[in-house]
Amino acid sequence: MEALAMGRTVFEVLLVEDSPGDVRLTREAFKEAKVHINLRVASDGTEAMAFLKREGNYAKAPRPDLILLDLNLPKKDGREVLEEIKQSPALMSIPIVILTTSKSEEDILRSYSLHANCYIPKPVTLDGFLTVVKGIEEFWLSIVELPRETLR
Amino acid sequence: MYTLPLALCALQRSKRLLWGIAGATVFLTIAAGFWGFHRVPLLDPMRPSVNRGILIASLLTLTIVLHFGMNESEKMTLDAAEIERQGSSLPAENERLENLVATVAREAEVRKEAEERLAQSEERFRLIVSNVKDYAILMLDQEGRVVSWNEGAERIKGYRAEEIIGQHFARFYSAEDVSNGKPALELEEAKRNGRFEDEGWRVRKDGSRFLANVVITALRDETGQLRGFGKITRDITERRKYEEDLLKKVRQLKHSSDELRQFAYVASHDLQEPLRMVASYTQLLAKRYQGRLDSDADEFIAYAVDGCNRMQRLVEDLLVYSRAANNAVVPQEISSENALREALTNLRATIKESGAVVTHDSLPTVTADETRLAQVFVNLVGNAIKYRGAEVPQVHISATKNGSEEWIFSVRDNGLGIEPQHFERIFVLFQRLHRRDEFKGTGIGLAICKKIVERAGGRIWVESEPQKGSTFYFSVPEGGKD
Repeated sequence: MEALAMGRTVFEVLLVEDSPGDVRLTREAFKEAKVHINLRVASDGTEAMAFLKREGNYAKAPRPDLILLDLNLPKKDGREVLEEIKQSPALMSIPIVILTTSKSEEDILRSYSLHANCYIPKPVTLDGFLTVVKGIEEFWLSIVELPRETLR
Repeated sequence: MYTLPLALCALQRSKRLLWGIAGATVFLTIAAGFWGFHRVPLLDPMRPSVNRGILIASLLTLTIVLHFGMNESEKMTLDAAEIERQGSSLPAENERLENLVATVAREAEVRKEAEERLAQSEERFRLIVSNVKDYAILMLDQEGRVVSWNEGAERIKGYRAEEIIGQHFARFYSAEDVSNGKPALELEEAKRNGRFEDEGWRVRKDGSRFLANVVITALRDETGQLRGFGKITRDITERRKYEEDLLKKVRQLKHSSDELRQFAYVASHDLQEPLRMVASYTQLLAKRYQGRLDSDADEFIAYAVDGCNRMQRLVEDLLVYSRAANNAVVPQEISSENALREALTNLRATIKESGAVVTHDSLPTVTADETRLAQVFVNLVGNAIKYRGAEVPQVHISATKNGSEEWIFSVRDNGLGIEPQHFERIFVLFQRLHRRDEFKGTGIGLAICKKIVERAGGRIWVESEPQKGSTFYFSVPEGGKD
């Protein structure tokens, strides 16, 4: 774990998810992570945008290293959130992982067209879900080199 | 010297007769010269005056006969004996005249036939036009007054010929159209472009309206002079109504198909979402607490997990089924052998585990969607292995051409076979013939096959005998659907 020791060990992750069950499952899965993850949750699209733009109660919100975004959300849809982030010069460099129940080809194509960084359908089994969250952590927070805040 | 009266008599006769008489006269004169003057030679140097007299008389007679005979046109009949005696005097001239007469007669006949044919064709044409019921066909003069009227016109517009001929055609138009000068404009355009076509409302005699398709054609003679107009009108009220109904039905169908697509999405997301929660948390419960509660709790958790798993498979299969029904695919020329190969690769584990022997004939190129065709093969070959008997499963795939219309594929097995009363039922969604503890499955595979095959314009059916095996057939239309 030398590389890790030299790199960052604390990551800010924003989970945009309206289902408390999924939020809890994600928390459970991240508990076993090798790095420390500060998981912040926005339960709809409007809240997610307020968090990212540091509006209202979120004036002091940290800038996330990674966003886990569900597509089907109340108020502002995940697709709109994705589009808005990827069109904003200040936010577009944050990697976005679409994590959704939808396997529709239309959703997949549209997400990538809107510059999602990857698209993962939520596995239906508990083991599958735990594996996916572990995979996200290993890939995005350990293998991948993320942009540094000082250069942003 | 009786040649002169003979010649004069000949003046009364026909030209043909005269030629005969002229010949005879010359002969008789010469003969008289011999016999009448006591066997004196015709040109005796000792009696020149007699000789000259005979010659002069003969030539004179001939001249008179020829002169009058040439101008004679009077027709006369000859009795058979006279023809016999005189007829062959000038055979060449006779023949020429005969030919002339025959030619004139023939030409007269040809002309008469042509005139009859023209009259017949005009009559036929008139009959056709006047009996046409579906089209109003009428002629207008240059000003737009009705000149001719047919049965269709009477049927569509309600006027009888005698009450409309001579009237201006503007009365077929609504008051508003007339005040806008529409009828005149239409004639003007037909005059300018040769033709005018329009679809719009027209008025019947009883004042009711009908939707008409109208074509007005300018009629000109060879010199380009306008002679009037031909007007053909069709009542398309019914057709328009039919088209509108059809359009409405298409819209309804599209709407319901959109709703089905929406339903598929609901099934894929909104239904799966809560289901995933139930499944995940019962599984989490099992993972954390199995063996730490009592044995009843373990059993209950196991049933809950099993139920969730089945439900998830059903929802997923349902989704596959609705995708098979809804997604538009464009069939292409593909190798059905490749599709089978893809299917067998998919079934590799099943084939290996069961020891099944899968064989196939050479398979044709067909117009289909390769992924869909592979999906059909996966289900049929998969079933053939799954519902096996005691023997090693043997599956054989082949295809035969049925006329020029379609290919018929068959998947034959040596498995359990199916009772004839279930031949239809097995293709229905969620219909199963076995208990879950005998064979796993949601009862959706054959329903998916049926959907795919029928969407491509084909059929699917089974022939089977219990304990002996089944053969599933499906057809793929040549050149794809339509």
